[in-house]
Amino acid sequence: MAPDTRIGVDVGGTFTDVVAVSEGSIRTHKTPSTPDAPERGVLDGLDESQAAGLDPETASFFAHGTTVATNAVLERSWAETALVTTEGFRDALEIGRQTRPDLYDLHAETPAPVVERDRRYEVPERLDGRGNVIEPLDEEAVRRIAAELGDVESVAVSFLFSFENAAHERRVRELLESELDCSVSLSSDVLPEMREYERTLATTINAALKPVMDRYVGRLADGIESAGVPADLRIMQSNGGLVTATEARERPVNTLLSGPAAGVQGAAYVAGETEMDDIVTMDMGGTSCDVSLVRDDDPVISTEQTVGEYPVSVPMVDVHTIGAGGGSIAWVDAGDVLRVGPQSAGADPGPICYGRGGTEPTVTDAHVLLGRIDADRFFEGSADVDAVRAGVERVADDLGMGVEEAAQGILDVANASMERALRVVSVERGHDPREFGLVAYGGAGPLHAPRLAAELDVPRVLIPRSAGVLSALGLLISDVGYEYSTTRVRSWDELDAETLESTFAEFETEGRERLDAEGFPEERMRFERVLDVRYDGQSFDLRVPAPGEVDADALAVVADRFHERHERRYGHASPDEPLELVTVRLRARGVVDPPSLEREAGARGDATPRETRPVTFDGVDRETPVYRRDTLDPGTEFDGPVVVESAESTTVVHPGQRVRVDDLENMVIET
Amino acid sequence: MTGADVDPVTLEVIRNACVAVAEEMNATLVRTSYSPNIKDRRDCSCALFDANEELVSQAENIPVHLGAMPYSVAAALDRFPPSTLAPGDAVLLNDPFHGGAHLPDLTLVTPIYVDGELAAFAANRAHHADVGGGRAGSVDADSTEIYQEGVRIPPVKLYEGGEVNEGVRDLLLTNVRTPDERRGDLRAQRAANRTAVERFRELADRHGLDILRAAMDRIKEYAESRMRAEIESLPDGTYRFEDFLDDDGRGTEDVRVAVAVTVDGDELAADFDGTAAQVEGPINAPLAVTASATYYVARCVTDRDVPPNHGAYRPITIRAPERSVVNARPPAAVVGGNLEVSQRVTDALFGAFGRCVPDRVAAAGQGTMNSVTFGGQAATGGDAFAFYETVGGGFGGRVDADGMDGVHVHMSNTLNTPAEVLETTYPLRVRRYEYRQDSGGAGERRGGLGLRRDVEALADGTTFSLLADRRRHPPYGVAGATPANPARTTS
Repeated sequence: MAPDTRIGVDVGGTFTDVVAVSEGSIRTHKTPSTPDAPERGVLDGLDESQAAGLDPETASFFAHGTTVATNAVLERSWAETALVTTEGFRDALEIGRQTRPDLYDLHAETPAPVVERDRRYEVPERLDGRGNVIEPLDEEAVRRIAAELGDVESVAVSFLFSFENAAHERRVRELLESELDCSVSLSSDVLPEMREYERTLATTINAALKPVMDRYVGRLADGIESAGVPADLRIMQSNGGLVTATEARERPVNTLLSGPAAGVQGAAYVAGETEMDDIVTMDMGGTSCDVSLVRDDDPVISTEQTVGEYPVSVPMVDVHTIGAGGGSIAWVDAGDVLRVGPQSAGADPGPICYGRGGTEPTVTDAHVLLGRIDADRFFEGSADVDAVRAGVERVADDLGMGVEEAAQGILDVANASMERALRVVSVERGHDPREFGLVAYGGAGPLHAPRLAAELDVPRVLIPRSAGVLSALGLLISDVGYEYSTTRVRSWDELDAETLESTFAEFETEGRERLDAEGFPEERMRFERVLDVRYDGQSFDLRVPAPGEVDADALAVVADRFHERHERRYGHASPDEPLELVTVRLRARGVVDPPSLEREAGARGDATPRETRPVTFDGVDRETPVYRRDTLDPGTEFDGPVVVESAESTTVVHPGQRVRVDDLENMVIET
Repeated sequence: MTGADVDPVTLEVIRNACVAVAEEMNATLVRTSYSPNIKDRRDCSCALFDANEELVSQAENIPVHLGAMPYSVAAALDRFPPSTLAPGDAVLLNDPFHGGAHLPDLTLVTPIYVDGELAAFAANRAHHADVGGGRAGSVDADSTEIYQEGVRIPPVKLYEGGEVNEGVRDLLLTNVRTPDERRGDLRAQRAANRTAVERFRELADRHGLDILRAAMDRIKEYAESRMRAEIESLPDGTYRFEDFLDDDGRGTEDVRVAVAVTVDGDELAADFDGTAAQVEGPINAPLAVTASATYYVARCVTDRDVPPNHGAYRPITIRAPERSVVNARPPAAVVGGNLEVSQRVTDALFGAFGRCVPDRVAAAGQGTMNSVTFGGQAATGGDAFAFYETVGGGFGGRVDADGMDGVHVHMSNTLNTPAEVLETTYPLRVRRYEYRQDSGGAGERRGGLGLRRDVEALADGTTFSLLADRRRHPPYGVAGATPANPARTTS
């Protein structure tokens, strides 16, 4: 029997990563991304992997993480789009929540609307809060709009309360499609949930992205087919679930955090294999650091993420971005204080040590100066260590301190701002960082994580073996997942279990049909029922899992769980207060078995350092052994200080810390 | 000051940590509070003060709290000097004439001890959804005396040695409409200050209390030196401006707010001499509110990177005549001080700065918060309802751009209520929510567009109350632009 291969390809800003797992062994490959036509990078990666022995024709699974939707939003390079909405509300999309983006900046601007006013059309029609028709749809008005739309490529339709009754929106789609050749996105399909601004925004973004995504996915699917891959193309959504290419073309708004979601999935998987179920992931690169929480093996999902300037309320992994990276620039401000960031040297020209013309000292330069990064080895001779010293010296002179002291200061200040952000992110979500492990990846993550963990009292840090390609790995272990939801604001007392059950059953039938079409047998389908509940009169709701079939007993269980969760999340609960249902959700999951990775026996390895060199820790030079990551066998253990180098990053284990290589070749550092 | 020396790195590390203390307090307060006012609209602020009672760091969500908290800490310690405080104590207050702003804002001040030694104070302020008084929500446009506006709390120890003072608590809860919610919000305020106590002690452990103290001094000196450098860069002189509130709702019209801003070297003074005497209606501001508006404007016209703490405020002097609408005394009604007077003080200050640094200011914006309250019986004949919201408008035109359309300006930045949320909760229907076309005034750079919101009451006997301004005196333009349209309310 031919070996069965699974392939994950993640497109990042700089590199496109390929991970293939075949018979327990894992093969990874990096190739430069091709931002103008990202599918080329994917196909290059496949080609090059094939040269290295990968056989695409054995692929039974092909999953993809993409930045196409994200980039289109950030650059506003999307389709010419129109909006059809309820009379009286055509400005709701632009007014948003009536806030200004910065309290003290008189020159701030509110986000530009996805659809400009002259492309926003009003239709007489109105539903009440339960979906009853107060004013029927004026079909003549819709036909008149259709005549005016002309060359519009895509149309979003969003009416008030369409989540209760989608008839008007659906009728508009029929009318438009009969007169025009354009794609139509309905708010009752894209995000059938309460709050007209957020729903309309998600729908217009979806509409604007549809033609872009449609073309991209079409080219990619053709490309991998020609490359001989027999497996269907699957695409990662922002919530960590994979979907078919068709679904991604239909609802591209759900792929805005495709890559980061895959990364968090990968980190959660690796941590889970190492018996760390609650972790903070930290993906630190050149310009920023993305952190997120994983609780009980599952990434925390949020509907309050911002992409570019837009609050996009579809479910996404809860990634919080901190403006601190290896390229963050150190400077002395007007009050003679050392600052790091938010300006970044980025990748080009990058830090001074890149030798590409950068002149501003960065966090990475500080690492070079303290001996933590071997610049010659990393930058293949192009590094100019004298220039690094000269750059940091300018800062040191302004501060009146020695150059090593200033370099240490740059790292301390960078860590202080990361620590501040990590603390606030945890506390806002009701968690104590001390109860979590830290999983670090990205080029700069392993340089900072061990020290940062010590400052935060986090006991363990995990540096995954596949840290450089974690997103691509995440693609291989994620389930296929579809989410269904609808808002039903009902007081708990008037809830009819039967009606609720039929809503769930409808969702489940839809989900079952889809998973079945994708070849999942019944025993690999999972249906998770969730109710969003709140205290009557509150505006914060919580997601509560509902047990199987909905009846009166099940509702009582949900109520109990709600009080319990409220206590955990907000620190208090009021079991006597009346409750209110807000949203009904179902997640249909097609379970994908993660490929089993070979574990190596835990014999204590006999690692030999590549060299020892002086590395400065808190002002003291210490002769520090430097290891190559790929020479460390499972079971190897040693005490810090130690530097471990790999192709994509350097790990710095501090004095007093201990590191162990586990049987999956991850490094686990006890702080 | 102290013997310990703080290098510029430790200074920045500790400055970050002190801001983190305030931000963590804020996260705790928002997370554990009950009322939507705090949770959703984020009408709350948290701050860390040193043992000298001086502001070190602050996390504020709306600018009207910016400079007001020092007044609270001063009032609390005036009543309870450090010698009368002990670990586990916490002082509560809301009296606008003793450290408060308006009655719904409750402030809790907690001393922080390290090894038995008083080392710092944590303070937080939260807008409670109701504190009694003549109208649900305690934003009563008809009040003429503070006594009608709700329960007035002078500085009192709500907690002593870690135990709640039940007498104080019961007295307070008996005088409000939703006592359970108040109890919950107070608990959240206490939790926020406890977060600060814990985190501050960890900082003292890590750095040593001597270093921490010296760093807090340096953080203030740093802000002061940067603010002085900023002021120094402004042209010296005295710049005057005056603007008007339409009326106080009780027959007093054209309520003048006059200011003379003097830049003298590295010092700045705002003198409100010539401002109208306090009025019968509730548009009177305590000095703390006027100070907040002044610090807000100073922050907008200087480098926002200067951290807002006691040091940054040192070079700024505020003079306001007693018993005027910008420095009200008892028994003035003050609920509109925060909401309306603060906006006009801001407009007057920007007008004055416009004569000093025209390229750093904007024209006047909507200049009101449009506080709307609907009340009545629910359609089902059930519980009474009260719904409060604020309606945004146009931001003033800028030198380089039109004003922002349809936002809250200056001292507020609270969210709107989605029509779908409003209609599923109250017997109200939103008929129209849109920009008022051509309302921003004319000019090469126009002001932002105002908002129009049509709300239909579905239940008989629904009452409507509006606390707002700028119906007669329109927002001024600058640099030759015409004023914007005044606001309009129709029924």
